[in-house]
Amino acid sequence: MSYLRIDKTLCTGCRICEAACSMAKEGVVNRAKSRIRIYRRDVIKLQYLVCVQCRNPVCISACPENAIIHDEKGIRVIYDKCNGCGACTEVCNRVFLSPEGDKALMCDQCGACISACPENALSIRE
Amino acid sequence: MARYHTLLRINLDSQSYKQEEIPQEYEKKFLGGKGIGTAYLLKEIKQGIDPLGPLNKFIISTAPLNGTTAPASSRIEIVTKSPLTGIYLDCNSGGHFAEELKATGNDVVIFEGVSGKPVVIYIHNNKVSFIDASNLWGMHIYETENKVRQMLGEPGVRVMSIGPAGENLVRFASISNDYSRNAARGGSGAVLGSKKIKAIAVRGTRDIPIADLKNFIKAVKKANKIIFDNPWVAEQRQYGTPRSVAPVNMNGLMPVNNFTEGQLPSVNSIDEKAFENLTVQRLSCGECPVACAKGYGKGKIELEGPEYETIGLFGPNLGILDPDLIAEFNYYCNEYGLDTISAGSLLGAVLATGKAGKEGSGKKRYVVLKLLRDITFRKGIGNILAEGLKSAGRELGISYFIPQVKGMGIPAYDPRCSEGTALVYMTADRGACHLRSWPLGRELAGVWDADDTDGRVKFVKEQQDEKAAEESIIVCQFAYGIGLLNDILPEMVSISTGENWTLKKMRLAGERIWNLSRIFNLREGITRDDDYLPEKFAKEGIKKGPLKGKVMSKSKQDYMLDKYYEFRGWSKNGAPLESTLKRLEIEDLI
Repeated sequence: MSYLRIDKTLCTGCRICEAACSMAKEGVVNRAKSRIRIYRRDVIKLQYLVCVQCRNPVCISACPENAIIHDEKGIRVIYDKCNGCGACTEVCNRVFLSPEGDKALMCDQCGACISACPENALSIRE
Repeated sequence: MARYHTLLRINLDSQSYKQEEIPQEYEKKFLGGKGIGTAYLLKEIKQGIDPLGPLNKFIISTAPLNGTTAPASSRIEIVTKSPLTGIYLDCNSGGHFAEELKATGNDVVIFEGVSGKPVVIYIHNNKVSFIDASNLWGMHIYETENKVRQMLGEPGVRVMSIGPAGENLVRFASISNDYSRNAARGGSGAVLGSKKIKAIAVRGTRDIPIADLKNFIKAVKKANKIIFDNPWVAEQRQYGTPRSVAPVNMNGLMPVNNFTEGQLPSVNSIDEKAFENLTVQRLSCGECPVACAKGYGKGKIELEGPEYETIGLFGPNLGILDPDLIAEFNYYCNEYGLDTISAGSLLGAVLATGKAGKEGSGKKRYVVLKLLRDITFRKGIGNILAEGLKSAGRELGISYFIPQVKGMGIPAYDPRCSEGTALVYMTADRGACHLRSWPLGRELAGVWDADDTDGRVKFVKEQQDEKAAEESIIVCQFAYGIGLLNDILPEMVSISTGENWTLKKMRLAGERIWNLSRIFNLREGITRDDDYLPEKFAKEGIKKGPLKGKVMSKSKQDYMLDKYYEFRGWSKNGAPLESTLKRLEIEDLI
């Protein structure tokens, strides 16, 4: 399964990836619509959050609409089905609720952030 | 576009708020950031009010490029009347606060009045909450930020806060955001303290409006190329501001032992390599590909930095060459919320004149930490020092030794080193400041003949205008260079706003801003007499190094001021002439 990997030894927390993501997926500059989030957790500590296509996708069972599936393309949100209830974001902090509250935002490994990252900290891994 | 044209006015007396439209004239004439903030300051602050009283206002101003994807565009401007100098103050800070505030849909926020009790202001898009902060009052800055984040339970929130120094109205108290990014100069922290604002938290989830996104993306690509093609940037990226330590010392303008000696035999222990070895995490402000911040961490001593100014003023200026000790002083300044430049330049004078009292003979680490604590909590001599450099000089009878202009502590470059540097400190709008123009590099490179004072003066005037524009856009000089060096800035601003900006128009905006701040200062009683360096720098030569014996004579300063005023279209007393205001089309705003 491929996933987006953040190299923590290289990431500086500039969040250029967040804007790149929102532009690629939503056509706007809005970091709150990004599928990748780099939070500041303390003075010099960062928190790096993006879906890593984990082995135990609790988001799938949490979704009452069956809008998150696991198929040959990986774990992903079916946007036609998602109603933004937020149940998945309750069980995993690597999926985010859109600011309008209408859908869950989950990385689909499109790779738009990879070329935007000035630190070469992002890559798609198997 | 790239603007919401919206001002958020927050009244602390009544705990109310409203949004207003920003006059188009302000956007057109003053760009944003520093410029629009200054226009509001001049309009809304009455002459002679107490900077720590209810009539002062605290203005946070964003700019067109904040929140967009323009490289190095996450700096925030604060404009207010300074409790340290009693005049105009703007200060800015990096981190991520600017882009978050911008995404709330407010370009400018003005805080007015005084809260009855400690308060956290939470701006979430167009909603403002006033949260009781009685339990946070007294907390250091890092803990405050953590508690506010916890309280709001929103991981994307950005926090700007004050520490005990701001609460105790120390006149050079700073404001911090993202833990250790500081808008430090001039006592803006005390202004928040006087209003009982412990912290301002922001969370914005609105789209950043960009007029022509497709072409903006292209322009950003171009900007990135310009930035990375600049060899100066590569070194900044690797070493950050500590890279200045060695050349400043080599050229003999290091402040050593309260701006006396100019050079140390060696600064290897505190140079860029020394601090690189101590870096545990590289950090970056928002949207910045340069990422020059160095995360230092040893036990609880954590910070982004130390930056060059802090190294110079808490290092050689205090006779200290231990990088960990400098980081520790920096840490306490961050936690208490103190400006390291004013604190370092003030302590330099206090230690050099033996005014630290009995403790002065103790170990330096102990003495400095105690002084920082006593200033913050206004104990003993600390209460005198907390009133600022000028006042402390008078009280302690050491005015001659205090390195300040207009009450603002002199940064870590000896002003006797060059005519340009001296003039920069003499004429900076907020008092001694190294960020308004930077002629020194060109002076050292021999751009002007030795006797070409006029060339230097003209350069300072022009770069001050450009820098005022740069701080109104607002981008970081470490990515783009100081001032307006090429067309990429007007290009990005024009494409993102849909307005028509050129370098020429931006320079004009900068000149307007510079005249507005001067008028504010004149109104507060500033005269030509305030535009000089302290007497010491005109009388006493630097004692060691290649600049040994060098002074900045009164007559030279006089000549430069005459020329400077002439280039600016100001009178012999430093007041803008009617014709200048007319040319700049700001006569109606005065």
